[in-house]
Amino acid sequence: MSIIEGRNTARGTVAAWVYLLPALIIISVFVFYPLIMAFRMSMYESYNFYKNVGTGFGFASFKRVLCDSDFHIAVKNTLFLSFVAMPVSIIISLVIALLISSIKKFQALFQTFFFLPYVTSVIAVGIVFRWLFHSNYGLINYFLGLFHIHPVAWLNNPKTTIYALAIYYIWGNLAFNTIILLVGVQNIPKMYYNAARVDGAKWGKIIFRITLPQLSPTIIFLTIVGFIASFKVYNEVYALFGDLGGAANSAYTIVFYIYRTFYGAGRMHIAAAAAVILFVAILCITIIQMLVSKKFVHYK
Amino acid sequence: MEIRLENIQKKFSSVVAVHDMNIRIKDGSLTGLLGPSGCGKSTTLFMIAGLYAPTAGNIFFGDEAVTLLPPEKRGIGLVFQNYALYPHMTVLKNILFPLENMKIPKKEALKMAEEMADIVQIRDLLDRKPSQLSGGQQQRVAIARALVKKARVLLLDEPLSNLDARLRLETREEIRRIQKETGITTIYVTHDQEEAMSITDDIVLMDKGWIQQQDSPQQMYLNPGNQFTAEFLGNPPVNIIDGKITDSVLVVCGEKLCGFDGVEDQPVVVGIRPEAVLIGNGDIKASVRLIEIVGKDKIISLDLKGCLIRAIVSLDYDCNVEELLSFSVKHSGVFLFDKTTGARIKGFAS
Amino acid sequence: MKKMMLIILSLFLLGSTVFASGQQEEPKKEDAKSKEPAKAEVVSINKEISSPVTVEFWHGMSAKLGETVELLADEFNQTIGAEKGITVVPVFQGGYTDLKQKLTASIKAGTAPVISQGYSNYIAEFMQADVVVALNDYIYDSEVGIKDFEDIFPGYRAENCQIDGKTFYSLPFNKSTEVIFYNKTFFEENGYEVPKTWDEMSALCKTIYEKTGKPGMGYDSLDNYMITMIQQFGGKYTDAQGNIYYSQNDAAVKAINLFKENFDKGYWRIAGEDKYLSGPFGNADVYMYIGSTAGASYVKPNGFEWDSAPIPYVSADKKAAIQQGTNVFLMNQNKSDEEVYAGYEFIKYLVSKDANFIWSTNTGYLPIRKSVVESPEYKKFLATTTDTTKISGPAQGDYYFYEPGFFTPNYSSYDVRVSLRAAVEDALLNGTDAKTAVDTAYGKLK
Repeated sequence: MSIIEGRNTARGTVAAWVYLLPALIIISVFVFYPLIMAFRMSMYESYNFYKNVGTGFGFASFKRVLCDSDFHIAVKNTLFLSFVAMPVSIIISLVIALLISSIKKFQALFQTFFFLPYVTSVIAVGIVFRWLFHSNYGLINYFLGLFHIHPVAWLNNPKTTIYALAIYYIWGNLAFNTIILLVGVQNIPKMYYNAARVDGAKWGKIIFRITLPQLSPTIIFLTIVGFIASFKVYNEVYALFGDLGGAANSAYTIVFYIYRTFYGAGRMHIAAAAAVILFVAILCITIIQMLVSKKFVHYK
Repeated sequence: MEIRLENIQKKFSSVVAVHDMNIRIKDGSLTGLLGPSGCGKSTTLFMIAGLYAPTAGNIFFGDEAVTLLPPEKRGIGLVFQNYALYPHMTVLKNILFPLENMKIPKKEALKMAEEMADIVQIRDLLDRKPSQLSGGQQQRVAIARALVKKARVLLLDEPLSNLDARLRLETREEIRRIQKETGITTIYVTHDQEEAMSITDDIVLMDKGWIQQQDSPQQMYLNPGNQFTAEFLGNPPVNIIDGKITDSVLVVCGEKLCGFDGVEDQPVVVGIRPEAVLIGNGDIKASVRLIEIVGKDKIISLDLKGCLIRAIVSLDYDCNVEELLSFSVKHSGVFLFDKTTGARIKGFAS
Repeated sequence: MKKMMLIILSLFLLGSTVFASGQQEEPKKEDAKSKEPAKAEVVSINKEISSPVTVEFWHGMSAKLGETVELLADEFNQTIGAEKGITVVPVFQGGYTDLKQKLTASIKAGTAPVISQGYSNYIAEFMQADVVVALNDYIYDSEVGIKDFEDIFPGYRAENCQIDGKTFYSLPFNKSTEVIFYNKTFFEENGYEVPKTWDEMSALCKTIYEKTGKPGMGYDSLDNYMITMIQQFGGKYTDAQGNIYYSQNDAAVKAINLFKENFDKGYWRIAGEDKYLSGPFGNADVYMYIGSTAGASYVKPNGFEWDSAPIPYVSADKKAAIQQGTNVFLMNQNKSDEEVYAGYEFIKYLVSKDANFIWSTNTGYLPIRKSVVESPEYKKFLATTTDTTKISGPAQGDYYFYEPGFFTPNYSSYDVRVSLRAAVEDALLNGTDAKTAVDTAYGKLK
C-alpha cells in the first residue's frame, strides 16, 4: 500500500502525518466539518440552524425534496445542462479551437478575443443577454425574424427559459473550453499531421483519427470539469432571471433550488438534504466517468 | 523510379534554404542526402515528399512531373526522424492507416500489412502500442507503414538519430537489407558521413543549401571535388595545411612533401588523409606531439616545423612523444585546393 | 476503491456521532421556547450609556436611498447621539437578498449588528436564534419611551406586533404601497378615466388593446397581486402563526382566473423578462401598471406625462391595498445592554416625526405618521413634487393590510408568497387550470 516501498517505518509515518497536518486541519475545517454538518442537518424533520438543534430524526427532508415539483424542474434542467448544453459547448469550442489553430495570421488576436468572456463578469454579461433574449427588443429575435421565424419569448415562456439558460451557459463556457482545447491542439506534434498527409488522410480523417484521439485527455478533462460545473450552475440563473428563478420557477437548477431554500426560505435542513442528494449524484457521476474514460482515452 | 530535381529552390520568407539544385537519383538506388545540420537536406527531402512546395524548379518521378502533386498522390513513403507513429493506435492500425485512406478492402489491407510486417520482422508486435516498443522496433514499424502502400519511393529522415550506437549499426544494416529486398528507390537523409558511406549507393553532399558533390561513397572519399567534401568525409578528418607549389614541388611548412605536376606555381590548401601519412618510410622528419588511441587505431600527431599532421597507424605501432619519426605521403591521399574558392586543383603527385 | 469506501464509511460514522449529540441538545430548545414569554415581562431596562458606544445599522438602501440613510445617521449622531454618547454607523449590505444572506451568516457567526433593516419574515426567522429584542419595555418606558407612538398609522403598528398582537419586535421604516401608474397624456387624448373597479379595468384594457394592440395594464409583483386579490375577493391569506387560509375558499382561484382571462386576450401583461414594468411603461408599451410607490423614481416617461391612482377594488366594501416595505429591529447577540439601548435610541429617532419627514420627502417611501402627512411642511412638499404617489398611496391608508411574516419548520411566509406567484405564473404561462395551480402551490407547503 505504501507508495515508497521500504520507507514505511513508524518514524516515516509519523513524519508524513506531521507534514500533512496543516492541510488536514484546513480540509477538516472547511470541507469535512461543513460536509458532516450538512449530512446531519439533512437528517432532521425540522432544524434550528442558528442553534444547531434539530427534531425528528429520519429521511423526512429527503422525502420533501424528492416530492417537490420545483426540485423536479431543477433536476430536469440540470440534466439538460449536463447532457446537452455541456457537450454542445465542448463541440462548439472544439470547432472554434480547430479553426483558430488553422489560421496563421491574427491567431493571437482571435485567441484573446475568444478568451474575453472568461474574464467578464457573469452578472454583467447576464444583463446583456437579458436584452439579447428580449422578446420585443432582443437581437436574437431580430435575427430569427430575418428568417421569418416568429419571435420567441425566451425569458417569459416557461418552456423556453431552459433553452435561454442553456444558450447563455454554452456561451459562458466557450472561452475556457476553447482556450484549453486550443492549447491541446497546439501541443499535438506537427509530425503526426505530416505523417497523416503522407499517408493520404483527408482533413476529416485527420481530425477524427489524429486530432481527436490526441485531444482525448483534454476533452475528458473538460467533460469531467464541465459535468461538475454544470451540476453547480447557479450564477447563470441568477444573472438571467434574478432571484425568482424564471417564469413559474422554470429555470431552477439544483444549486439554485438549494440557494433559494437556504437563504430565501430559511429552511436549512431541506436545503441540506438537496445538497446531499447533489453531492451523491456528483460523486456517482464522477466515479462512472473515471471508469468509462479509462477505456476511451489515450494518455501519453 | 528515377527521381530528378531540376533547378529546385526553396525560400523560407527571406532565407534561402536550397539553391538551384539539380540532381538525379537512380532507380532502385539507396541515395544518401548528406550534410551538416542546416544544410538544406531535410528541406530537400520534404520537397520530394511534397510536404514543402519548392519556390522554383521541377521535380520528376520518372517522366512524371510531381512538383504540384500532394504527398499522398506521389506514391512515397516517409519515415520521420521521430518515426511519428500514431501513439493512440496499435502497430497494426498504424500500418493499416495508409491503406485505409486508399480505401483498400479490409481483408486485402490486412494481408498487405501482415506481409509488410514480415518483411520488417515485427509480426509478433502487431497488437502493441508504439510506446511499448523499443526504438529499433518503432523504426521498423515506421518503415512498414511507409512501404505498405506499395510506395515507389522511400524517404528516410535521419532514421537512426534516435537510436543508441549499437542499435544504429544493426538498424542501418536492416534498412539496407529491406531496401535491397524491395528494390525501392530510397533517399536517406543523414548528417553522419560514416552512416552514409557505409550503406548508400550514392551520396549527395550538401552545404549551406548548395550541392557540393554527388558521387558514390568511395569515389567521393577518394576523389573529393572540393575542400568541404574532403573535410566532411573521413574519420579522423583530413589534415588541412597551407602550402605552395613551387616548380612542380609541393612545399608544406618549408618542407618538400612530394612532387606535383601540372599545377602552376601558387599558394594552395593541402589536404592529406591521415592514412596517407606513411610513417617510418621516407625522409621527411617530424617529432611526435600527441598520441591518441581510437578504438583499434592509434592517431599520431606529428609536428612538422610547426604544422600539425595527423597520421593513423595500427595499435601495435610503438613510439613515444618527442620521438623523431620519418615519413612520406601516399600520393593518392594528397589533394590540393584553391586558396579562395576551395575548389580542387587537379594535378599529378609524383 | 477500497480506500474510498473506507473514507465514506468513516464519514458516516463521524456523522452519526454528531447526530447523537444533536439529539441530546433537543430539550434545550424547549427551554428556549418557554423562556420567550418571560422576556416580554422584563421590567428593568438599561437607559444609561456609561461610555460612548458605536453601533452598526445594516441596511439595503442603495443610491439616493442610501445617501438619505447616511443623512439621517449623521443627523442623529450630531444631536441625540452626541448628547448620549452614541455613534451609529450605517452599513450598506447590498439589496434585500444580500442583506438577508449576510444577516443569516452574521447571526450564525455570533456577530450580528445591533440594528438592521428587515422584513417581518426575517424577524420571524431570526427569532429562532433568540437574538431579536422585544421593544415594548423601551417604547412604553416613561422616560425614554415613544411618547407619540399612537401617531404612527395603526396598520404599521399592527404589522410590527403581529406575533401576539402586543409585543413589538420592530418599528416601521421604509413603507410603501401599490398604486396604478398611468399614462396621463394617453388617457387625456382618448378621454379615458382611471378605472376604480376591476370590471372597469378589464373593460378599459379591452378598449386600449383593440385600439393600440398593446396591453392596457401590467402588474409588477404577481405575489402582491395574489395576496391583495385574495383579500379583495373576500378570502383570507395567512395569519402570523403560519396558518394558511387561502386554500379554504375560492378567492385565490378567482384572482388567478381574473388575471388569466385578461392575460390570455392580451389585455394585461406581467413584468416577466423586463423584471419591472416601469421600463415598458416609460416606452409606452403598456399604458398602466400597478407597482410599488417606491418605484416612482424609476418611471422615466418617454414623451408623456404620468399620474397615479389607488388600485382598483372588486367591491367598495372590500377595498384592500398592501402596505409593504421593511422595518427596523434590534438584536442583542453578544451585545451589551448599553449597545442595545443605543440601537433603540436610533430606531426611535428613525420613526420620529422629524426623521420620517426627511425620509419620506427625500425618497419614494411614504410617511408612517399622521402628523407628518398633516404637517404644513409635507403639504408644501406635495405641492412641489411631481411624484403623485405621495398622494395616491396614502389615500389608500384606510384599507391597508399587511402580509403576515412567520416562520414554521416546514415553510415560511416567504414560501407561501413565492408558491402563489409560481401558481399564477403556472396558470398564465403553462395554461394550468387555476384550481390545480392553487392546490399545487398549497400542496408544496404541507
